[in-house]
Order: sequence, then structure tokens, then C-alpha cells
Amino acid sequence: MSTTTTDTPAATTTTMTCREAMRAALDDALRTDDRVFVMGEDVGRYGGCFAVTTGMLDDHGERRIRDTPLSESAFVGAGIGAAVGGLRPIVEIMTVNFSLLALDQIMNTAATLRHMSGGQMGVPMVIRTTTGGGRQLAAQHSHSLDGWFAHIPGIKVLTPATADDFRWMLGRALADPDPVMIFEHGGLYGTSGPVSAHDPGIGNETAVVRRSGTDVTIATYGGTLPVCLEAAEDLERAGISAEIIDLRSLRPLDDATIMESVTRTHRIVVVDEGWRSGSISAEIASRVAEQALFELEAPPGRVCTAEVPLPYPKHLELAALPSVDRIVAAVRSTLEVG
Amino acid sequence: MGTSLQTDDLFRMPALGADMTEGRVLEWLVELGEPVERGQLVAVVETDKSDIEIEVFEPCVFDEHLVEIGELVDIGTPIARITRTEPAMGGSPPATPTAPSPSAPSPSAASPSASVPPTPASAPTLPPTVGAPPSGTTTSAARLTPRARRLARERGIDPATLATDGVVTGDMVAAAASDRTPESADRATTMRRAIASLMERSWAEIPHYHTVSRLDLTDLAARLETYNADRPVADRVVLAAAVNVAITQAAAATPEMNGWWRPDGFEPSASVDLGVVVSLRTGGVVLPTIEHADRLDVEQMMAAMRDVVGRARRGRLRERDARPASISVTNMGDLGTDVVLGIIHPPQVTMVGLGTPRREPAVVDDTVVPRLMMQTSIAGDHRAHDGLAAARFVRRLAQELEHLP
Repeated sequence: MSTTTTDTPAATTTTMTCREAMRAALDDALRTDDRVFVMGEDVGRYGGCFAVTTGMLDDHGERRIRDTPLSESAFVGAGIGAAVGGLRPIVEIMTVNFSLLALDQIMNTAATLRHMSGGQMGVPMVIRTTTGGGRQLAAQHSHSLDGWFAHIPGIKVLTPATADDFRWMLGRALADPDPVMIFEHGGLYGTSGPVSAHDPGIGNETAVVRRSGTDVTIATYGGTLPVCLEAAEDLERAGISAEIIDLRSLRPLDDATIMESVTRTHRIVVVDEGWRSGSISAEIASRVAEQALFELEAPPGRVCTAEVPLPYPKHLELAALPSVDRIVAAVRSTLEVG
Repeated sequence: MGTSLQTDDLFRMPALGADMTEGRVLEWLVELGEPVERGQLVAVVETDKSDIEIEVFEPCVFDEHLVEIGELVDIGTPIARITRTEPAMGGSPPATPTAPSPSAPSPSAASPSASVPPTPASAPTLPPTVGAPPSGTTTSAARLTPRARRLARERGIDPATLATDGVVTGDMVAAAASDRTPESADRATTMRRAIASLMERSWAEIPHYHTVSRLDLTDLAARLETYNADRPVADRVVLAAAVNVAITQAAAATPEMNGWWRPDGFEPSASVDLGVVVSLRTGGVVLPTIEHADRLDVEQMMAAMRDVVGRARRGRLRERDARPASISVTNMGDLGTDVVLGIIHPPQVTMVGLGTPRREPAVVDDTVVPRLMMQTSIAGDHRAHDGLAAARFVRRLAQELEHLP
């Protein structure tokens, strides 16, 4: 809650949870654009598996809030068709693991249609899905595939981490003529923060410095942002000033903000809830090496999830996920060089 | 030549270049009480134009520093008390510097003579104590962070001068650079002033004459290409090195152009010690000397140029580099200049100026053909020699080029 934000949301803010912020964003979109509708499993009568769409069926009716059969491939495909046909679908995939059932639609159709039609048609569809672990949902419902999807040209991958981004990213995503995936970390829905009364005007694709620091850059996104901010507090007590970058978008990646920060701090640790091998953290470390090697005082550090199916028992799950202790240790090890 | 400064048990501020009157010790490179070998670098001295690493010419031990770091003192001022450690017999130290005695090992020195070649018998006119400093210097392979590497390069810091047991970080380099920064702003000004006064003196005192000739480098360039073909990139020889070799040979063959103008007339030099004008990235120029350049083949010349230019650009010349040259060359070939008419570095009497080699139309056997031509100028001190000498010099230079590499 008392997170330091360097970009102050517009003057008037209210405090709300990320869940409320996303609901407000959906409401706003449905009210202001007739082409927008929401569909997914249990989004209507049940109110959404994570209670994001609770009450919306009553407000907007069955035409705009559509419960779908349990077939991700079918309803994502339907979303693509609706988008090509001129609507602005918001497709909710309950948890990210189910996106794999729709991967062909996402990767082979949504991501390629503009290219394969020679620019004649695009897919202005938004897919929202819940991502991440930490809630004892076991190995099949705790994935962090955000970085995985960021591998695919033709889609954009957004990872809101603050209530303000939960509130304002959706509208901008809907304005995008191409498919956008929004990965909402399940652990964030209940957290709250200031939300601007109006779109604060930061684009979706810009990384934001959430906390300024001078000794090390910590680049992260989504569910690990609060963990990093907590680690920064610990580090500050130890006299280490960490700068925290919220990537916000994994595709495209905002290289400039990362490099600018590294140019000041000369050290970077990437914190990524994905598995380490072939991860977005690997991508960022590579880019730093490519673009800012001669700014570095230490090898880039990474804190990722242990490369195991995420355990169900709480203590094992916590041990596998990026933690404050591991982040602090990674930061210290970059500072020990020299 | 620092020997005369060491005839007592005092180590004195050496004169590093004709225009140096004072200097300051920036750094001691040896510990008090530690045996020092002949040729070892013992201190870094700041002069108006450069930081110069100075060496000793006899095995000794430094007992006491007599000046503060950074204290400005006149040349000849004792800066350290030393005890000679050679020869061991006789008890008391000799009153005069020991003549070359490379075979007398100091008991404590590890291998003093290994790196000091004996003075060649064929060159009796050589100053007796001239010897190469230890070849590899004492640079241990420091580990640098990438940022440290970049900053060291950009700010001209030699990482080997940063004492650390671990990795050299960018902050360490930056700190070393900022220690120097206020000074190096000063340094630029002092250097400008030093150049100004020397050039003013040269232009006021020396009746310059200039000649310009075209040299045909086509065949030399072709031979060099063959010569370089199967060499690793690092060992390749550039045109400038071959031309410098030819210049030193021409200088040896034209003694009236190779030496110094003294108040009582011209003093020829026994060897060709080639001054090489090096422009610094931070502004200004220095003129380090390649000693006995007439003994170098193209490969050795290439290495010597690389060394001396590198040291000059790092701002760390050695005492050797600062010894008086007998003739100098300024090469503006990298800069696209066609002709450079030099100003002589007093008390020398000749400055050779090299322009950019260009392929241009030339008449060969009544046919116009493209040839690689370089405009070569001679700036001569008309008190010491005449245009005829310059003409002979250039003709000889052209002949020498035919035999290279």
C-alpha cells in the first residue's frame, strides 16, 4: 500500500483493490464502447472465478457478459472471429494453464492474421488471464507463462502490477488494433493501491521506475513487484539503495528504461516468477549485455522460480518462488564484485 | 640520462626533456627498503606535458623520500635518499656511477641482468648506462569489470596503477580519474602553455626552410601487403612504420640534419633517436623519442611506435621516451592532410612531415597511371643545413623505401 511510486497517478486518486480496479476498467469499457463484450468460463452467473466480474451480468446483460462452454480453443477462436468482424472482445481465460488449450488460436491465428492477410485484417482482441503461483493451487494452476507468450511476435503481453495499471491498461489494450494479452497475477487481486480518476497517460508499453535507487536495478513485473519492493526496504536498512523497475509490458520490452537505469546503477538483478531457463529474465540479461555491457560492474543476477512443477505444500511452494531473501542475496552478490 | 643525478646517495629530480625545469613526484613505484634493480621503474613524475615513469640505472635501495607526493621541485632537487647495492665489495658505495656491469648480480635482486641486454660492443659511442627497462613491466593481469574497462579506456587510467586484490571496479577507476580531473583540466592548460612557449621559441629563433616532395609508395605498399599477408593482424606492419625506418636510414646518411643546434653551433648525433609527434585525444601533442631508431627493422619500428604512442596517449611516458630526439617526424597521414610543413622542435634541426598517401595520377614512362603518392616535407633549420641537404635526404629516403620491408 505504501509503495513508493515515482510516477504519481493523476492528482485525484482513490484507493481500491486490483480486483475492483479491473472491474471498474471492464465496466468503463462496456459503457463507453458498444463493440466491447466479455466472455469466458463462469464470468457471468458465477461472477468470475476470481470474482472480477461479480455483478456485471446484472449491469450489462447476457449479450455483453457471456458464459462460455469449457472449451478454450472454441471461445478464443470465437473471440478472434468477433474481433475480425468488428467487435472488441475481452476474452477471459480462467487461469493461464488453460491458455495452452487455446494456444493454436492465440499463436497460429490471432498473432499471425495481420501478417498472413497482408495487413487486410487484424485481431483487436484482449485476452485476460490469471497467472502465477503462491496460492496453493498446485502444479497445474500456478504457472507463470507470461514470458513464454512474450516470445510470440504479433501479440502484446502486459503484466499489470499496481491497482492503477489494473484500472487503466485495459482501455488502452482495447484501443490496440492487434491482440493483447493481460496477465493478472492471482496474488495481486486482493492488494490495493491508489487509482487515478483519469487515465494517467502512461502508455502500456513503458516500464516505470517504482522506486528510485542508486546501487542496483531490480527489474521485475506483475506478482513479484511487491516482493521486490519489500526486498528494497530490507536492502535500504542495510544501506543498499535499490531501484525498482516495473516492466509492465513483456512484449514489447522497454529497453530504454532498463538501460537508462543500469547506466546509473551499474548492476542489475531480474526477478521473474517464470522458470529460469529460456525466460524473460534471460532475455533481459541478454539485452543488458548487448546494450549496456560496459556499464556493468557485475554480472546480471536473476531470481526465478525453481525449475520444478510448483509444489502444493505451502512451505515448498514458497521455497520455490522468488522471495525477499533470495532477492536480497542476489543483490548482495552483485555488490560483492570488487 | 639520469646517471649524473645519482652520483651521490641522493636520487634527484631528473630532467625529462629539454624544456623541463621542474616536476613533481606523483607516485612512488617501489617500497622503501626494497631492493631495486637497474632499469626498474621507481616513480611517476609529472611534467608540464606528461606523466613520466622514471627508472634507476643502478641496483639500489630507496631509504627515504625527500619530497612530498605532488610537491613541485626544480630539476636536480634530491627526491630520495638511496643506498647502492652494487658492487658488493669495497664496503662504501662508489663516488661515481658504476660503469655497465651487467654481470655483477646483486645478491638480493632476482634476475637483474636477464632483462638488461649488455651494451653492444659495436656501439662504443653509446652512453654506458643505456639499457632497456624490464620488458614486460610489472603489470599484473588485473581483472576489470566491463564498466571499469570502459572508464579506464575513456579516461586514460592505467588499471594496473589501481592497487586491489580483487576486481577493479568502475568506481575505482572513476575515483582515480577524478583525482586527476581538476589537475588534468590544468594539465590541458599547462600543456598548451608548454607547447606555446616551445613553438614560439622555435619560430622566433629558427630560420626555417621547407621543401615538399612526392614519394611514390605504390611498390612499397604492394610489398607490405605480401609481407603482412600471412601475419596475424596484431603483427602487421603499417606504411608509416616502413616510412619511419627509411627516415632513420636517411637521417643516418645525412648527419648534418641529425643532431642539435647548440649556442656554439651544430652538434651531430651519434645515433638516430627519432621523435614522433603524437597528438593526444585530450588535446595537445607530445614528442616521445624512439631511441636508436636506425637499428630497428620495420617490425621493431612498428612495435616501438605502438608502445610509445600507447604510453603517450595513456599519459604515462617513461623516462626513456623523454630523452632528446635527434630528428623528428610528424605524420598526418591518418587525418587526410595532404601536406604538413613542420615546426622544428628545438634544439633539433629537422622535422619531417608526412601527408596522406593517396592514389593519384602520376606520369610513369610517358603514361599517366594511378600511383600511391605521399607528399613529404622537410622543415630544416637553415643555420644547420641547406635545401641541398633536404634534397639528398629525401632522395635517400626514396632509395631506402625500395628495400623495405
